[in-house]
Amino acid sequence: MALIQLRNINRIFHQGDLEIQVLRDISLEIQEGDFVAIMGASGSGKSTLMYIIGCLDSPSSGTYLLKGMNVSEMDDDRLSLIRNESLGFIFQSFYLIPYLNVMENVLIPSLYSSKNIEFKKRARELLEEVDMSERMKFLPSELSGGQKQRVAIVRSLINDPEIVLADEPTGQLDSKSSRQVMEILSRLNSRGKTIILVTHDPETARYAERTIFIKDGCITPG
Amino acid sequence: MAASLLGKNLFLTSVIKALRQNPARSLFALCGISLGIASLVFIVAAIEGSNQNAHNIIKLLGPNSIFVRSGFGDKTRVRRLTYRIDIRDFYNLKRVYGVKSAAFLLLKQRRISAGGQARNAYAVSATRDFLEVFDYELKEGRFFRSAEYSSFPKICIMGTELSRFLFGKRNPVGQRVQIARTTMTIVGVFAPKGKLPSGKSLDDRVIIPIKTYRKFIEPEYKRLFAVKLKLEPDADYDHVVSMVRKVMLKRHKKDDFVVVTPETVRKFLNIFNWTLSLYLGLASLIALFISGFVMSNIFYINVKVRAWEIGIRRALGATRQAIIYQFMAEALAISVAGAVIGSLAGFFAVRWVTPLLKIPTVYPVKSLVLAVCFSAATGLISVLMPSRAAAHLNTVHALKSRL
Ligand SMILES: Nc1ncnc2c1ncn2[C@@H]1O[C@H](COP(=O)(O)OP(=O)(O)OP(=O)(O)O)[C@@H](O)[C@H]1O
Ligand SMILES: [Mg+2]
Repeated sequence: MALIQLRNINRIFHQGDLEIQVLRDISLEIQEGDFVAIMGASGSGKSTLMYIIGCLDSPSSGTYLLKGMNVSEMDDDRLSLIRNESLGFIFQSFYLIPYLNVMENVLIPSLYSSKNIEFKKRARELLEEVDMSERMKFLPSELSGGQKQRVAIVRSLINDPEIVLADEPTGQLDSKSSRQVMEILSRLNSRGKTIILVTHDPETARYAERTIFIKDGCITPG
Repeated sequence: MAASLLGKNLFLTSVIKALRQNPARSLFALCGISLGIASLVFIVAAIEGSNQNAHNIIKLLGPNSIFVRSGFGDKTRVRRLTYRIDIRDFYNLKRVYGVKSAAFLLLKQRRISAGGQARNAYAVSATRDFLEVFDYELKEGRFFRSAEYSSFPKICIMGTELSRFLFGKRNPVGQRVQIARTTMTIVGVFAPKGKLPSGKSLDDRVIIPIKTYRKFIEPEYKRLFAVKLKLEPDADYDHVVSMVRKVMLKRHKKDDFVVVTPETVRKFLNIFNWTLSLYLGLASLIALFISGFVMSNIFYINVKVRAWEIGIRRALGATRQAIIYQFMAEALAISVAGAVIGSLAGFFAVRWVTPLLKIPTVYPVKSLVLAVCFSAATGLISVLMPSRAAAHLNTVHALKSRL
């Protein structure tokens, strides 16, 4: 059974009397251990799709099965739990909390977790792995973009989720930092994590094993 | 969930750091709460102080006693301030059924000096029963002997405060003191009686046997400041009080005298407390209400400015409840800090303002608990709505709100 199954997903936004259909009849399966890139032009609906897969937004119609469970039937607490335990998020603009240092930022998911993990130890190991162990007490404002994104990656991994969702993770980074970030994601994938990457950059998408193209809210064949 | 969240160090760290991140907003909320709490603490202090006043008066009055103080007559007409009670009242009161003993209070301010020190203080006359009826106790030396009430010995008993002023730490017994134009010998010192509610000390006086008093201090003795009665142990207190009133009203108008009993003291102070509580209570309630309103608005701003932070926390798995707890905890931290600062400010107000109100300065330590509770309640209630708003933000919108 597929880890992620979308069937006939539609997402319609209402702006006054205006109906904006952002996603049209999206059906798609992602297997455990996949590295999938979602590509498309700006405004094509990539992020919207990622938010739905990430249980941050719900489709207007259609079915979404995550690990065989129907997400649309879950209440908010259940969705929070799934986001906390099964999903990791990486965003273009990092979203590191400015008043917390690197270590504290990385540990935020553990606040909401009941998983029995030695979070601090794991955080130290993961920070070591992305070469950030010397900056554990730094504030986000004291880090470069690439460093921030590496911290965000560690944060997404702290709860050991099955799926990592990355929305333009290299969007604000130079080519060297981008390469670093993508190599980390590849490495995670090779260790079994399912990675879903949203990007409009073919260079970045090349790291994925499979690419899904979206145009005007529809999946198109390349 | 709640327990596991609140039990984590990071939760507290995050709360404190978030508050420090926005010092202006936090400080503003803090000031509001502190002000409300300060006024609350002050009220409690004022009420406790006035209660202590009542206690002091009642204690001074002693058990099973009635104090009849002279009024100044009709206050609407300007007259010479003369005592309305006289010696005939004293004899009438002494004869009331149930009265065991009675003494009158007759005093005059005189210049008192010894060893180069001088000051004006009250010289008080003492009849045979005076020391017993007014519950004087001995600290040093002796009281007057029976024969000394019928002759004119130049002796006196001194209060501790006056003695300290004139003689410092030395024992004044046996020393000579100049009272008005007469030199007298101090035979005893009475145990401290404390202060009147007006702040006047009862130990800044000297007591002189009645005949000596009339001969050397003041011959006029018909007008009395007050009369104190001690009742028989089995007397019906309330009945005696009503008889005392009746006897007084035969010769006087209502305004000419005041009957002081524990009951009247309590009644008067109750009224005082009520008005005080009402006015100050209303004021501090308004202050707390306003501070709650300020806090609420500041947290609405917080929620708006920190929307993306709420978004990312939600994305990372925070439930709505967890977001509510976070803001509640921030409000609680401000409230507790506000309670402490407000209490300190209140204590300062107590220190400087209660003396002006002629209320004993009582630091209401108990009110600290009250302050923390009120403050916490204000904080939590006022932040209820903003934190719910935060919890119900659309996560995707919240994330996108980052500039
Ligand atoms: N809440 C909303 N209300 C109305 N329209 C929305 C809303 N969210 C997204 N849209 C619209 O949906 C379309 C797709 O948005 P989305 O963010 O998914 O695009 P994207 O493919 O991620 O683009 P980009 O590469 O620029 O990030 C856009 O036209 C956007 O204006
Ligand atoms: Mg996007």
